[in-house]
Amino acid sequence: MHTVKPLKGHSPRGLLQGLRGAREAELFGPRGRLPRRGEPDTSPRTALLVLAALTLAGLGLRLAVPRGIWLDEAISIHQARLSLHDLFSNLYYGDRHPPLHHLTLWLTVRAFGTGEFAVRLPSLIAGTLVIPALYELGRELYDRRTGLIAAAFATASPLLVWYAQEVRMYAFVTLFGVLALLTQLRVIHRASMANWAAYILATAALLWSHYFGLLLIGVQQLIFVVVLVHRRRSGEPVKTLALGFAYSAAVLAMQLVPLAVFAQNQFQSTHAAAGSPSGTYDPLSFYTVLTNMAWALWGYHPDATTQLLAAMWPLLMLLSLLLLGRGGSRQTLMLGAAALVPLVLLLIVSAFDPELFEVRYFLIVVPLLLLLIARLITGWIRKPRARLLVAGGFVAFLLIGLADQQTNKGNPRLFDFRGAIQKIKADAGPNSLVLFEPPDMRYVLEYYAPGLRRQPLRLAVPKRTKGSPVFVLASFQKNKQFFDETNRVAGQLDFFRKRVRRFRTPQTLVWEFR
Amino acid sequence: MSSSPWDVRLRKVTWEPVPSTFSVRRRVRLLVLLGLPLAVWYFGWLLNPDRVGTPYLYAVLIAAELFNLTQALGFWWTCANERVRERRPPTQHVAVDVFIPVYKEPPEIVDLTVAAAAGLRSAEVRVWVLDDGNDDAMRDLAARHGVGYLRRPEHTGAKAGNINHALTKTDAPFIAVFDSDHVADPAFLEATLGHMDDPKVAFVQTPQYYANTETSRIAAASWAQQALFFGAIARGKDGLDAVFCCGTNVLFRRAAFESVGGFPTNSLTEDFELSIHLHEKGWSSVYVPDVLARGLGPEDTAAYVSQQQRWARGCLSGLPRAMRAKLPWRLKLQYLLSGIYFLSGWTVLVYMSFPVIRLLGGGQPIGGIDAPEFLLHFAPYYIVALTMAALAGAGSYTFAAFALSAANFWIHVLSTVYTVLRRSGSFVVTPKQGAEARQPAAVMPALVAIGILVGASVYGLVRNPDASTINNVSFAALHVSILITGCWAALEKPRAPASGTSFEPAEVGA
Repeated sequence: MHTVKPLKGHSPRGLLQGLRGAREAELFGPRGRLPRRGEPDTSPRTALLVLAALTLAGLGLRLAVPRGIWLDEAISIHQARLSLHDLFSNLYYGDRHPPLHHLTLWLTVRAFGTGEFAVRLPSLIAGTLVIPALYELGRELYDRRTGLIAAAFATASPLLVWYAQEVRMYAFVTLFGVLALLTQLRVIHRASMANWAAYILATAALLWSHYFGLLLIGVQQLIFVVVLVHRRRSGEPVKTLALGFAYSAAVLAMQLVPLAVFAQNQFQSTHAAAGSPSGTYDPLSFYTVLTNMAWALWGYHPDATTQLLAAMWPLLMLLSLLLLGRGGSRQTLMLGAAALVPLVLLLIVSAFDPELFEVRYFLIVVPLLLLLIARLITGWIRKPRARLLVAGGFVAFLLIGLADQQTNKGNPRLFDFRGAIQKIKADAGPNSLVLFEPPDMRYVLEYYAPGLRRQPLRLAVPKRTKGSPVFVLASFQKNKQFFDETNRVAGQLDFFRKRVRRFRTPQTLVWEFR
Repeated sequence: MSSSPWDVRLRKVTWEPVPSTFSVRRRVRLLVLLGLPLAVWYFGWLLNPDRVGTPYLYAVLIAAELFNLTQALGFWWTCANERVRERRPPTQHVAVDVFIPVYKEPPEIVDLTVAAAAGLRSAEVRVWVLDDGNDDAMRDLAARHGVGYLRRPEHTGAKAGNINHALTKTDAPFIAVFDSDHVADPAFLEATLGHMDDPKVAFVQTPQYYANTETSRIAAASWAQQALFFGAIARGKDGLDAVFCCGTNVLFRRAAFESVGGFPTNSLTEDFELSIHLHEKGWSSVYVPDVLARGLGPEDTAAYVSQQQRWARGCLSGLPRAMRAKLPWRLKLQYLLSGIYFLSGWTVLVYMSFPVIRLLGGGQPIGGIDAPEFLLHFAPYYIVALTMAALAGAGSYTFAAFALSAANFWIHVLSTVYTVLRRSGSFVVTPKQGAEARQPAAVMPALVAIGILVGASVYGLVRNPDASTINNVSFAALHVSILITGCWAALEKPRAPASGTSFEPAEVGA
């Protein structure tokens, strides 16, 4: 056995003194040469070029519209053709939306007419501007690289393309939602008058585009409070930000008063939404949540495809596990809150009215989700090539979704009224009559066939149609009421008249009788 | 020989064990209010006989789910009792024997450990290198640092025997033990000795921190597992007076040691069993959550596997002892919870088997329901349970840690079998230096599992690519992703040693 006693009188502290103190640099490496964790960001010039290319590509994809006007769009166009007084009256008594998009469309119609391209122009512009806006939000939150990847995703995002082509307010909501967050960030970083003005304008535009914009605006107020509390706790000055916040909140409150009166009258006057006929959506369930989330990311596809996508829910468990130990930054928390809180609030509201849980009502979540995915890629993948590969793969995934959404006739949101009406027009004579269901189909007929005689299916067929063809134009047949009514009238006509033909276009049925 | 000035153990500690905002105790208690009703909601639904699909698979699923629920409830209960102790400096000048047991470790690793131990403040420090490897280089090293050196004629009882032997040769009233790679902070005794003023305290445990997380993927994932244990769990155990000794970075009272005859030598986890003995004798234990020593985690998968096998065999074989122990119920439960953690690999095996059986045309555990109904009951419970782990770990528990644990499911399975068959194991010191080649053999069971999952998925897709198949293929993809992540470190080319210039140095107190 070997035993050696410690040396008496030996002072081990001398050695420790060598470990600490003045010779730190020698022991621990020079302080001034600590490494940067990340590689340099994309240069401003490259970013600008890539962004311009993405925006042009995005515009190109949005300009390629493969479908005609559908019901809700036809209603908007009808409203835009009215006088300004009648437009407001119509909105006040017969709609459920604030008036910003309607006013813009009203001006567009006056300037460019009512051609399909003209009426889509406001949405096309807003939907394209989402691309640079999202880049800027990504740059402000993280860096240019993340902004560019998010912009690339927005370029190819099927749902963003879809609503950039729709004559409704959803592209506005998306653009103004992104701008509201961007301007809020700028206010938090640099509380200048110009930034405050931009923030107030962006939130006002969001609010006057859609009532659900309030969900995001509510989250923004919470973000302000959290930032103020945090700054106060850490001893940073809060006066400027607090004053600006108070001022912007006052401006918001001033807008809410007339808007609340407007909305209250609207909701009292209308029992059903002005847009899609009620009863065409599935009741709220986990499946509808999964389906809407699948749509949000990959666009509209035939039910069979959506079912397969929804069946992949275990991959969400993988995502939740991947998030363990991640996402601790305040920026990501803010982004996550802005994306998730409105979604959860809408989910809660939808428990009372299942039709409200519709992806278009939380379209603002889509660009934020895309930005979060872009951040996952730039934050987790350090090798540039691997990052490019994953980001490119995701863009390809989106493009496949976009191609299927735009071309697949089984798309559940594709209503080919234009195709059906064109065929009707080809066969119609001077006394022809079109019987239509649902009642709001009159706006579509007004747009595509203003010269055709038409009446709702429920009214009796007039006698002076003798010898002229009678058409039944029906859609929304998943709705039991519409289905029963269509069957009843088509059955009667089948009994008393000769059925010449029956044809269908996506989600539309046409019978022709003589 | 001198320590390399670029030794990773001199790096600044990057772990903040105690969250600066809401305490874990408050976080967990709030979430428990949500988690308990959700657990009742899920299990109330699951245990309904109408859910039975294929009976034997249902029984296996219930067993796995109940095991996980037990683990979750135990975790919540532990964390909800968190106690955060402050450092407590000594009130009198006392002598402390510092033991550094070594067994054929590279002297360049032990060098800095000895130097740091010799520099401990606030006591009469007597450092002893306990050499079980009969290594003359180690004797020279001890001599160079002017510290004690003990070599015994018979090397029985592994580390436990080595320390027990040293107890007979030394006489200080307190004993600090550091593994050969653990570099003590000079303030170690300043932070812990004061807690010994309470005469009932047998030992003061501190975290076992890994400093090599930047240079080793395995060490990083392994540390993330450790961080959860030495963070919320250890503080919770302290709140329940149930801290057990972890074998290193610990200060003992000699009287406590002697009251139980030293370390038990018939266990692979001598520290676990020693703690049971001490608690049975009425001694108490203390946990100081500050990092007071920096060590090296397993550098490669083989080292990790070796370490986990030892812990699993030791803790599982200690379970009967814990059950028989005459302890207050909360202590006994805490020991049992720690022990049964090493059965959790079985649940991974069970969950991986379900999609394979389904894809190959077999049954499924739950029948007569659709995915929305299942998710409605399962998802809220799952989300809260996961959030609890994330918040309790204050972000330190990562996917890589989870994946590493899951990919080594087979260790728990094998250890259970060996324990049941009473096959003896041997104490293997965790290697302190990484391998220079890929180690596919170390993850072969996981690779086989990946092969089976992929094969079953392909077969299922070819046979019938409907929504049900896609769902099971997604489950298989989930498992494959986890397993590949857990295996990755063994399959990739080992990294080159880290440059010494790329870190922020430790703050060494004056």
